[in-house]
Amino acid sequence: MKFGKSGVLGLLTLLLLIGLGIFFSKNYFRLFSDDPMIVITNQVGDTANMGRASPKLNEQGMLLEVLGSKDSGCPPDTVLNEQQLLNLPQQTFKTSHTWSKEPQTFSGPLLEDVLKYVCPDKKFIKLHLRALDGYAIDLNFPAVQKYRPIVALTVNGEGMKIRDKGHLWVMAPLDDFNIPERSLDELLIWQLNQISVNLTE
Amino acid sequence: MAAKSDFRELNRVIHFSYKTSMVQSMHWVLSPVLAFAIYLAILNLSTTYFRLENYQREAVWSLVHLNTQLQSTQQDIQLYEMNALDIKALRIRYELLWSKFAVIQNNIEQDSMLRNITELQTALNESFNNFKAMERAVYSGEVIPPSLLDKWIAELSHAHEIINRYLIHEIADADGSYSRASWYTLLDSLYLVAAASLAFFVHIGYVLLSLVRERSDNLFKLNHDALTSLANRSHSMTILDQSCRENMFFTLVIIDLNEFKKVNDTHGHPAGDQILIHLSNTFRKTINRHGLVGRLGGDEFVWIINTTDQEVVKHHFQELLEQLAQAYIINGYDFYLKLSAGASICHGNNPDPKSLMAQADSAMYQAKKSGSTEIAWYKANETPAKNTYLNMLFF
Repeated sequence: MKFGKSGVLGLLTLLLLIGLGIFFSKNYFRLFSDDPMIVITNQVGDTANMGRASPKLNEQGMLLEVLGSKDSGCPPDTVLNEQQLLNLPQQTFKTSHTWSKEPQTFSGPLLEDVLKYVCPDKKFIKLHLRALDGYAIDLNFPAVQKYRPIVALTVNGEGMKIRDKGHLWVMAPLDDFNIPERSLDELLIWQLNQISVNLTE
Repeated sequence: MAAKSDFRELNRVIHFSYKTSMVQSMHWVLSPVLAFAIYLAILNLSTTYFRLENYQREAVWSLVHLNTQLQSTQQDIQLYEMNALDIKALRIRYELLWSKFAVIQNNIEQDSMLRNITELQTALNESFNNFKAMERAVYSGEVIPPSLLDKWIAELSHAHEIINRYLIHEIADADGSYSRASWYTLLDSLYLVAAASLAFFVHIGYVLLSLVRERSDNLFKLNHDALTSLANRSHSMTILDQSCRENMFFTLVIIDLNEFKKVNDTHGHPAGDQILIHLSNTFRKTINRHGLVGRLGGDEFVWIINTTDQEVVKHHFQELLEQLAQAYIINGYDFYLKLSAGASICHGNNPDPKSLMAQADSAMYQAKKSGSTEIAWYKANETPAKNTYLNMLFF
């Protein structure tokens, strides 16, 4: 049987359809999209402080505590209040995320700017982020920097209470990036309370 | 009348084959489209699977965290009762537990399978409402009475127990209603894959069937004359060769239509074609039933019949002549078809097909010369004509 012109056309159509299929479904494959699996949740061995708020939280106006390890060259213990965070350049964006049906508008300073404010002229490598309820992650910061995470102070223009996942919520403009759904969820830590800078350059 | 219906038939055949080829060209598009549909269905299946896994993981995650907070809150209330914890720390604990309730509410909103476990939903709503009722006392600034604190502890531990029960028996368990609901969701995607595959294979089967049909159609065309649908020259010669090789007893008759050239010249080729079609149809009704009739070309036909009995051959030929005795009418003209026929008999003595043809041909020319309508029989002492039209054409 001869392959013929229609055979060539059929083959080309098949290739075209497969190509289109891959193009429109690449979001579902890690192979074709950015892989942000660099976040390591680490709660094992942290049971002593599990669910216990930092004692400093009780102090007036305290929002975020930034701890610097010995090698990092950052000040060992810095406490930031709301005004200090608001004085930094603010980012605002609207994005959809796992914890809401509708997209929401977040605003706050870049996580990088917060760190630079505490610890200028450093390049941050390893961070340890901790929430009020004891949830904590080890973060390879250069790997997530491109997602421009912010420390959000407001959602839809309003400040957050602890019951609304506040006062601080790490958020990134997820809709701007081609990443599998929910793959950055570990990074988007809510009720953020403490950042430890473990390694800098 | 007969002529018109013949042409209508021809038109229908041409139109039909044109349509068929259109359908076949569409198949080249349909197969990849169906293959793509299978691909999409499988894609849908795998994304559904991972989505369901995610939902289940998140439901378990949120409920476990809610439970942890419920326990911690109970402990903190006890500590507060013993004056080991101040009201500010208790308020933070209260807020944290509130946020966990809110997260599970959001899970229920997004996850239809969790929504299906209505008892869990009711229990959660009740616990959340009880918990909200504590707000006034927690933020009042007054000392909270121990009886109220004990009531809270009882309520929270009840909620903890209920959540644990649903977590173990309905969500984490493979036979729980959550797992069953997610299995049915997955099954819907599986049906899509099955439907797409079925459509693809049915289509492939249809294409194969039409190819098989086309093949047998082409085989028919290979062995038959396009105009008359009688066996064509090469097929007739193959049958003759075979019969000779197998030393069969048969009679070879060559039939020629008289004055056919005149018809073509005076009435045109369409009229000639109609006459040939009519003649072939008559052959089919008569002598083709007792052997094979093939068209050698033009108005020359061959008839191979498996008998050496002259009377039998004559009898069958007479039937044909009776059929042709009626006039055939084209455009108001009456045509009387006259045939010349010559035969040679093969007694199975390993003959040469070419010489058999030449013998029958020469006998036929004898008949033509004499103007006889009977079959002329080749006699051994006659020398076959060397320069007949057929001899020049084929040998």
